Amino acid sequence: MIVNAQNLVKRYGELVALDHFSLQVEEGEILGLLGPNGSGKTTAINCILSLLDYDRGTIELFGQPMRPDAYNLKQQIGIVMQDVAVFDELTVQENIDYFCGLYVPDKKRRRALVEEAIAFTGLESHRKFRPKKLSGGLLRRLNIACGIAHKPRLIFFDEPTVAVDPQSRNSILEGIKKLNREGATVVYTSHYMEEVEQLCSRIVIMDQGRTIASGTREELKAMIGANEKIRVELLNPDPQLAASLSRQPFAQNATLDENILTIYCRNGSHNLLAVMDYFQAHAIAFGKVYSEPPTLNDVFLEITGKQLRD
Amino acid sequence: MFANIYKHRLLCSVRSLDVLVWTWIFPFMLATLFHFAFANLDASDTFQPIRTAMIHNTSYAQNVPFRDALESLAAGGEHQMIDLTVVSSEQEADELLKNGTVVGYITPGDPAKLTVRESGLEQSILQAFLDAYQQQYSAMDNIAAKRPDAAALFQEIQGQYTQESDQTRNSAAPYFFAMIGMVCLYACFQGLVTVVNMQANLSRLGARVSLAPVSKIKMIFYDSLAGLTVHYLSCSLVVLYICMLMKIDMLHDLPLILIVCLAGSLVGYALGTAVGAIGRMKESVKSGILIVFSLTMSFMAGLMVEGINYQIQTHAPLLSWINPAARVADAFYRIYYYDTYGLYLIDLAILVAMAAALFLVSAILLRRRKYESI
Repeated sequence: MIVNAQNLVKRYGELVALDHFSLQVEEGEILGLLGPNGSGKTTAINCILSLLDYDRGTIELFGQPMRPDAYNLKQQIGIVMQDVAVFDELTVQENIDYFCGLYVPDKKRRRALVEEAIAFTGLESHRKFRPKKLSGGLLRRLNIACGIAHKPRLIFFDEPTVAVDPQSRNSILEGIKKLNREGATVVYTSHYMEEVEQLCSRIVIMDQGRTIASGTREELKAMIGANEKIRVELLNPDPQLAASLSRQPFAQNATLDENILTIYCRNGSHNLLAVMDYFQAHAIAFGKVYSEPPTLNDVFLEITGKQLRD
Repeated sequence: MFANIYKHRLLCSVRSLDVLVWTWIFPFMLATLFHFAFANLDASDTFQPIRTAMIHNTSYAQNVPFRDALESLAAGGEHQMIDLTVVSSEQEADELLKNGTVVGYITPGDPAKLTVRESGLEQSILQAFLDAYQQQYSAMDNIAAKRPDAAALFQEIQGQYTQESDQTRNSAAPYFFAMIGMVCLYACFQGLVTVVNMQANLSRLGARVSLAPVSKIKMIFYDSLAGLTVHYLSCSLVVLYICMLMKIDMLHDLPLILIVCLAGSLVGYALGTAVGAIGRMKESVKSGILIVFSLTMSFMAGLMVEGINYQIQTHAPLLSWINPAARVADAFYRIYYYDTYGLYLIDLAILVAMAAALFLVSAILLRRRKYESI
């Protein structure tokens, strides 16, 4: 086990930021730490990295206790922080060289690593630019390059795609997958469920400083009673329809919003067919029909009663 | 590791707009402005002997060395420093002081006392003479008590009051010296940057740097060396520029000048690290505190008002001793006006002690390796 944090408790006065939070990460996996803003993701990472003091709990990285002066452990860790942290006065190349130099004293090896990081993040044509001349997406890429240039075994990405355009976001996510394929273990925190679903082999969902669920995305979705969500555009909306549908065996619940009927189906196959049969049997006229598989948001909603982005 | 941190901090300092303005442009601009402002000070105000009254009392009659020293200063000629009027009573001296015939009068005694109506350069010179005389006289007294054979040595020392240097003195020099004190203190901004960039609870960069597998004290030390290099270079160039502007010959004392600049810059840097390490205020607030502090210290060292440093030294000596800008200015004063270096060394020792104390405070505050919040 590469990360083993047990029963972490962190308080800010009355506020409990981490409430007996535990996290285990196996070597080679991409673990997603998913939760709304303020759920304690960054606090957990900062405690694990020994930046923050905590009130209770134990933390081991690579099988050894993590302390601020555990330099042999820090040597193997990379961090890409939520906020861009680079020197405004240094160019892209100099910034990467500086941060890489804190881990790799050998100049020749460092030069090669810096070039690799520049190529990896696609910053070749911006190597002489200073951060102020870079767009938000390029800045994020620089932030990543500074965190991964020294080729760490374990990399923490703390919401690296916040305020990033879709193109850069895809490029960042692809980059993370590539790093993982090359052997790095990744801990990825985000409040974007789509990213976590797309990227992570295992997901831990956090809320109010606690782990509320963990597993693969399939395991998480299987934890809840809901299956797909079917939305139907009605031509003649009937206010009673939602209530009658809710009583059907395939439906867990149904709602009507103007002419859009949403049916939350129970676990089981052929739910769409059952809905169509019902409409035909009751001569209900309808237009477009959409079927959406359940999301992590549905998991979060079912467990906490609120949306991930609340 | 050292080369990496040192090189990149140098690059940051050289390219930083703040450093460019406060470390390079501002001191040179201020020196040039001072130069033009004080350009005619010496031309229009050639040195006139200071009109001084002396009360002829018993102490004056008995203290032959003191009388000799005064008379040598009052001796006519190119180097006459005082125009001495001997009076028989304090009332008579007071009258001369009131009607402006003299700028001050001396009441001989142990110690001799100077009475003036207002502060100024002439009054400062008189007080400086009295202080220096009394200091030496007291030292000689102590030695004479233990070594009666030291009489020959005393003769030699006493001669120093009347041995004026041939150098033409620049009346604006004290302003420039206070300015150099201020420039030294401006190293505080470099010190602040070092701490802010290394502390996880003060900046994002600090958080990232704190995760590196390098001891924080090492990083701060390497970073400080680079910050100090840039500041010291600027400070030394400002001093050389001032020497050229003022057309004063201090370059034969260049090593002493460079040493005091280094000590002053160290105090400034250490001050910046200490303020940086205290509390979690924003960098801009800490920067504001440092600006106010360095300007106040420079003001008290005589940057804006002539003789204020002397007034502070007289009425609040402790404040003067712990004012780093005043110590730097005073050390320059010693180099420029005197050929003896005793008091220069005291200034230097005070500066080094201040730097050590401030660095110690910083180290204690920065030794924390985990934070309550970031």
